[in-house]
Amino acid sequence: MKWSHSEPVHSAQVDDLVDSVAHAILEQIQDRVPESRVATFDECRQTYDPPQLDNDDIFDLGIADQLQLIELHARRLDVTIPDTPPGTLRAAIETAACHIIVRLAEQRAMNLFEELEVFMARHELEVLDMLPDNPLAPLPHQTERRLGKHCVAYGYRAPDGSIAEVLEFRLAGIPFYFSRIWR
Amino acid sequence: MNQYPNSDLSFELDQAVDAVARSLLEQLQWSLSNREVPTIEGCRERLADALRADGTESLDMSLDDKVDAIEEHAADTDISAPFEPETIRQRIEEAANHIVVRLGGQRAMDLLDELEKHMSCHDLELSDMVSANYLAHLPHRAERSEGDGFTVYEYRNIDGFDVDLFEVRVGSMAFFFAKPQRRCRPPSH
Repeated sequence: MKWSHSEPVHSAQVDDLVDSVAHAILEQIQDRVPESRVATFDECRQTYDPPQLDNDDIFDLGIADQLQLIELHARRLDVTIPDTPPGTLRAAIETAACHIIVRLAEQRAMNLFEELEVFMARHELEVLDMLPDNPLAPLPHQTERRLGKHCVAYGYRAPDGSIAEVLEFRLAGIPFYFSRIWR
Repeated sequence: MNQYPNSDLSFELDQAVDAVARSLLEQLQWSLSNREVPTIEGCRERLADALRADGTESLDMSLDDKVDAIEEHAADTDISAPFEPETIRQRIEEAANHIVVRLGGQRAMDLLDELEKHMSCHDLELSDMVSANYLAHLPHRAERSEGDGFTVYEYRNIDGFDVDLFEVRVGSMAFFFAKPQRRCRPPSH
């Protein structure tokens, strides 16, 4: 799946790598927010550990892609090329390119996270409503409503007659779950 | 396979170095065949002058090969940290260029040494040098290879002259020498 990007166009390989790192960031957020009981979007954004890429991870990119990343983004993202002797020039370039990939991925993940914020605001959902998964998934659902392009609401009726709704919002393929109870 | 048998350079770097050496030697060959340089020592000075001119070459090497060249020959470059993001590509280009030109100049000097050895072994003079085998379009009577890139073509009775033409191959270059021409023996009656 290709995500929408605002960064300048790179090679497909660079784009895929940024996507996969951004994906890893969003997965961490999805995994950690429900447990951490954070309440604000800003706190959500702090719940991931920046992925660590090493030079092997970008080996396949090739030096041309790596230099292009440095030329396009290093200054803007405040990434410097480490001071190394010329005998390790390639490693210095790779290290800088790794940092840039991570920073681009963070930006991409945060841009996507804004979509989630907009969705939650529209449906009056709180960060504290976020669930690690759909706890009612083993049960049959009574209703299923599509809320926009990326969300499905599954309705479950409890014995007391109340309806619990679990919203599954897919952000770049990663499901975020929210609970809502209707009486 | 590398152009120069003793080369321990990567294939791509070797090709680029050979192109520079060849270019330098072609200029020298032209000067020699026009009798502009009378001695081998003069040739060495010409090469040194050409290298001091700090010429740049359009390198037929990928960026990857250029970075490899810099890493392998780092001690010979003036490229050093810090690297500014906007100029790092240019600095790589310049450093690779510097390396290739320097190695190319060194190879040209080595090949000139080889040429000098051949000339000494076969009693050839710079004044015998010609720019090409100007008799190549004519049939030669005999051809003998004396090994190590040295071939003699015997042309006989060319407009009344016998000519021995020597081809000396050093690296990817061929130098030609025409021995002072002798008048053919008149036919015996």
